[in-house]
Amino acid sequence: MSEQTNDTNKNKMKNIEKTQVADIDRSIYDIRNDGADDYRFDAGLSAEIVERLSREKNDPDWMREFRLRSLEIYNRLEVPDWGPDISGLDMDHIATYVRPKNNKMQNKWEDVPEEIRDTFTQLGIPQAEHKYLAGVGAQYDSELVYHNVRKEVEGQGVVYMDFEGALHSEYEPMIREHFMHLVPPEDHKFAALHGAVWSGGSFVYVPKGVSVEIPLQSYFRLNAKGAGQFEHTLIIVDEGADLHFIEGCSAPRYNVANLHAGCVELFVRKNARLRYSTIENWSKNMYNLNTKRAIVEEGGKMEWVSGSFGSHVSYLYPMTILKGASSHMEFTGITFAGNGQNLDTGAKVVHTGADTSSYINTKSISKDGGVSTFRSSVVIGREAKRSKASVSCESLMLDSISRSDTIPAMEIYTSDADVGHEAQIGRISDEAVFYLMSRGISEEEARAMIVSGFADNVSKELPLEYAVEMNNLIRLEMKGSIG
Amino acid sequence: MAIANSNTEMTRINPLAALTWHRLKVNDTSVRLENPASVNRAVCRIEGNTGAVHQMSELSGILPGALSDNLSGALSEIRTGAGEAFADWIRKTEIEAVRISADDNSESVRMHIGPAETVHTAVLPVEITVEDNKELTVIMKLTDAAKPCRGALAVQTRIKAGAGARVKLVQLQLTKYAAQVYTDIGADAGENARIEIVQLFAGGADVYAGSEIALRGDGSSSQVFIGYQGAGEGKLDFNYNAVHIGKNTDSGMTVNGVLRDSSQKTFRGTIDFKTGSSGAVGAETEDVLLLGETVVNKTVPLILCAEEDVKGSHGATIGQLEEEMLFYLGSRGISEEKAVDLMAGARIGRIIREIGDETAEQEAKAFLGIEEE
Repeated sequence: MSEQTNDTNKNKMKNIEKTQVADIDRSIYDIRNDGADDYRFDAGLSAEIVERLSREKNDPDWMREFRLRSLEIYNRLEVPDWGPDISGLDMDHIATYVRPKNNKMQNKWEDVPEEIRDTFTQLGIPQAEHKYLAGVGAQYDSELVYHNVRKEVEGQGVVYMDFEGALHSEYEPMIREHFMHLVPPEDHKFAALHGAVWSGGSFVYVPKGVSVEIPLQSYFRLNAKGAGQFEHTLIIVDEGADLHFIEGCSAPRYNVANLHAGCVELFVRKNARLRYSTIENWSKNMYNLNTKRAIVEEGGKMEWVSGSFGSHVSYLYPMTILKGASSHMEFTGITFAGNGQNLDTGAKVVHTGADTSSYINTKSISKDGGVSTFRSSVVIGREAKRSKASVSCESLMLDSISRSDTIPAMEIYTSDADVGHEAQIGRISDEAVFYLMSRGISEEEARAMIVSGFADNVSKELPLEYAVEMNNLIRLEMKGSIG
Repeated sequence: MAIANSNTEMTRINPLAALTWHRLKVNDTSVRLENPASVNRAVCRIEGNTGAVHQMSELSGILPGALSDNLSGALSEIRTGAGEAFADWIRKTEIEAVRISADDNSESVRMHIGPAETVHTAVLPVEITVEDNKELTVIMKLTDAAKPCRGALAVQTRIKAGAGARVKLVQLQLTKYAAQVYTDIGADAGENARIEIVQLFAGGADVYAGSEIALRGDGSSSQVFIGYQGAGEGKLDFNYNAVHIGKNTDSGMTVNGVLRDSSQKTFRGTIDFKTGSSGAVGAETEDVLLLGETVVNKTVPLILCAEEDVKGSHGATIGQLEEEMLFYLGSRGISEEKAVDLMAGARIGRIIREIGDETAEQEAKAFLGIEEE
């Protein structure tokens, strides 16, 4: 990084260091370290690049072969024709691996290289860890730069490691058994891409009966221009255990395409519970083609809380397989699509176990020419007797240059099931704005308040600090919404 | 005897208004349509207001020139729900349309449409023009030939409603022997026009039904009521679009159905608010009663929106009869089997009541075995 850029960033940091309740300034996310990468692969995708990555990562043989097989699948599969246009994404211009300087992973923030530490400080990660997290993983471009878990949580037998470290540890057999089994590379083109070039990510194992009282968090930062981030997250919550995992992500804005094709695989064992919360705030040059999937055993419970605010284009539909009898899933999501954004988000659930239940509740907001699409699928299999599913989606249009589409699908293969669906689309009521203005609130603030209220399905499910951050993001997006 | 495969062509019909995951197999439906050169014209008997009905070849002699020009090919541009591939197939059959135009007679036009006694597909295009401020009701009964045959029946209906016009189309699918029934509707509503469609599908054939209503004129409205009953291995495949183009337009879709045995149903229903359709309201509800252990139900309700000042809603309830209802009826001495029949009949009966023609309502109830309430 040049000295000048460093100084500028430091000065900015002094002025805008984030507090948990302060207004959000977009420049926090836009801070970039122009010379932070030490080494990057040439842009493009080939067997040579995949082999080189595999050597770089010192992969076991099975993983190298897996990467190469995934590449073959990637080359064979077509780009989806049913979602937003991604023709602006050219893999020939994406570097699949970028290593930051001094990339050795640390477990003390003071040991993390200064310019990278500064970025995470501005994002509030060390402060959050200190106050209310059981452990933190921080990824910068393609590498984990920080990973730490509280001693008392470690003492309970909870494993929270960087994914590559886990692959070279005693957990290698467990990784091999689960890695891309829920999301096989054949699933879609960008799952195959992930299988070929993944790097970084986290591995979590919560032993039987252990309840992790405070959340773990992984934060993903993509600093490099024209690069991809392909982290892999694997979480196993064993029988009767309980975990809340938080995922955050952001990137500075560039005028070229960046790509995020991460993969999250979640295994929720018998009577276990996992809550997976995400506040996604990628920069608006990002193609976010992420895949998340969970499988839930008997009596288990999977809860997704998802806020999508960033990215130029998103394809994001966390999927849950309710395999065990009496397993349950809840998905609570909000998507805010502003100028230049086409966010295609939603959820998928497959009921295969008897007496299973699912509840999908989403809100979406479109503004300034943004396009928001809610897309879902609910499948009730023949054996999923007495299952219940409910889908509720609401969309808010803030102007007539934006677009909001709702594309749900329900497939039911047994008579012994109950499925309900409701969808609504509309605008902010003039009466509500008028009422708030009559109480001395400006029109802009009134509209922002109404939109924040509209998003309360998600904010009330998040820890307070994250709910505040989400509301601030909404206020930021609503700035200048009048006229 | 069935039509040889070599004389059919796989065609994709009922396209979903916006694509979704292909693995769900709801983006469209593939059907085998017979070579257009070998299809027959459907047998069509007309009762009621016969004066409103014209064959194309009669037009020049009977109607004033201006009206004749107005009718000739004017409706061919109207998009239909089954999609362009189906419309193209109908065009290639070169079968002349029955053209109906409203006159001052308020009596309904009653059409009995059925296949000829062959295995070949019977096709009938119908074009309905209702000029400004006129009203017309057309009741179509899709029936079988006098003796059992396994031919398919395909009816395509295009409707043009002028400013302030009122059009009601009732279609009753009461076939027992036809292998497939295709019904494809396209409608265009002028300012303050109202289009109402009531359709009843009684099973006994695989049914492919599409409809697209363009609410082009400001203040125009549409109401679609669909009742269906699936039984045996029967397939029902629907694609219904309400396209809001004009300001203050209003659309409603009410779909009630019962699936028995191993029947399969796909319902695609789309409310599409185009830019400029401010003040529009669209509502869609579907109620599906699942009675067969191995039924397959697919429901795909879309709301597409490019306008801020609109209200769109969709609600679906899919499942069995509530235990409480069965218990209540049981406590009144009604057997479970009878209770199920009663509740299934009530769902379809709700749609039958929208027909608004006593003769047709009685006929539909008799065909379905629905008892008087």
